[in-house]
Amino acid sequence: MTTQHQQNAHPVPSMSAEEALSAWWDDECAHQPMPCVDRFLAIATGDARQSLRSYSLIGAALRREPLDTRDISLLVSARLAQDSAEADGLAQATRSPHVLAFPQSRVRRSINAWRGGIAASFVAALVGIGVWMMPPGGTDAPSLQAMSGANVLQTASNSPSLTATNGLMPVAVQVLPGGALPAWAQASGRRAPMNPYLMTHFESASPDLSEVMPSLRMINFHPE
Amino acid sequence: MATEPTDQELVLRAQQGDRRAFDLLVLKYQHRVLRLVGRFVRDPDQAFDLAQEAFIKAYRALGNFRGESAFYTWLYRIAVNTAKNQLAAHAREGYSVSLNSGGGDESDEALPEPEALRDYASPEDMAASNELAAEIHAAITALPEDLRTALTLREMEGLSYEEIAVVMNCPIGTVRSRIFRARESVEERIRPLLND
Repeated sequence: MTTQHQQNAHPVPSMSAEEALSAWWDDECAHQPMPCVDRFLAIATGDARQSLRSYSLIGAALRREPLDTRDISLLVSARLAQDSAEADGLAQATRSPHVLAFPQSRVRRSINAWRGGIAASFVAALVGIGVWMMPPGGTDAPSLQAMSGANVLQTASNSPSLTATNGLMPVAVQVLPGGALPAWAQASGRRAPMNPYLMTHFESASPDLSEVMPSLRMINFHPE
Repeated sequence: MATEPTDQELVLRAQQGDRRAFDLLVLKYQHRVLRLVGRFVRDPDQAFDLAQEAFIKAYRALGNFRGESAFYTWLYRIAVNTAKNQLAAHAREGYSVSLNSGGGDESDEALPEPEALRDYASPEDMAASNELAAEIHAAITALPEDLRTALTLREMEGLSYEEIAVVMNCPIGTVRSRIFRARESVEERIRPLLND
C-alpha cells in the first residue's frame, strides 16, 4: 500500500486545459509534470475569461464577500490594443515620405554646444541698451561717456538700428571684460519716484547658461 | 518570495508581446486589485478606473519586473501608488475625496475592509448580487460531499492542495480534480445569471 507521499510524488499525468486553469487560479501549477501555461493558454480567451470570472464569484460567495461582477480585463485589453495601434500608426507615419521632417529649428541643441559661446558672451559682455531721454530745452545732460565708468564702451550711438527720435537717444553700452555696469545702469527703480529718466534693457545669460534672456531695468534720475 | 512559476512564465510571455498572457494575469488579479484600491476610494467607479489604470501601468512597466518578488506583490505596489497619486492629484485640485482609509497610517494592514461596493450599489444591482450569491450557495450545497469539502477547504480555509490531500486522505491530483469539477458544476449553474 503506497503512502500519501508516494501517491503525491506521482501526480495524475493527464490534466485538461480547464483543470490546469483551475489549478493556476489556486497557484497550484508549480509541481505539474508538464507546464500549466501551455495547457490553459490553449483555452479560448472568452472561455477562460468566463471561467475565471466564475471562480472569483464562487470564492467570494463562500467567503461572504461582496460579489463584484465587473470585468476590468476587457477594458484593459482594449486600451492596450489601442495604445499598440497608435504606436504602430506613429511608427508608420514617421517612416512615410509624405511626413515632413521635424523642423531642425526646433531641435533642442545640446547644452554643451552652447556652453562655449554662452560662457564667452557672459564673461565678455553684458550688453545694455539704454534709451537716454534728452530733457527738453537743451543738452545740458552729461554725456553718456561722462556718466559711465572707464570700463564702459559707448558703442552703438551711431548704430543704424538705434535711431534717435524726438527727445530720445538710443545708446548701446558694452561692458568690457573685467568691468562692471555703470552706476546709472544699476540703480534700482524702486528707490526713485516713478519718473523714469532712463530706461535700460539688458541681455544676460540665464542662470543655467541655456539661453540669453532679456531683462528690463528702469533707471530713475532725480533732477538736480 | 519569488513569483509563482506559472505567473513568472506568463509574465515572460507578456514581456515578449503575448497579450493573452497578460490578459490572464489581469483576470486572475483584477478583483484583488479592485478590493485593494477600494480601500483608498469609496466610489466604486473611481476604484474601477484606478484598478484599470494600475494594470495599464503594470503592462507598460513589465520590462522592469525581474521576478525577484511575487508578481502580485509588484502589482500591489503599482496599484497602491496609482491610488495614492490619484488622491494627491485630487487634493491639489481641491476635490473633496472621501477615503476609506484610516488616519494617515501608511500600513496597508491598517486599512478597513472595503464596504464601498455595497454602499453605492443600486437596488437592482443589490438584488442581482443577492440572487447570484443565493444561486452559488444552492449549487455548492447540491455538490457531492467530496467535491464540496475540497472546494470549501480551498476557498474558505485557504488550504493548499497538499494540505487538503492530507485532510481528505487522497492524492494531490485528486484534490485538484475535485476542486475543478466542483467549480465547473457551479459555473454551469450560474452561467445564465452572468450572461448579461
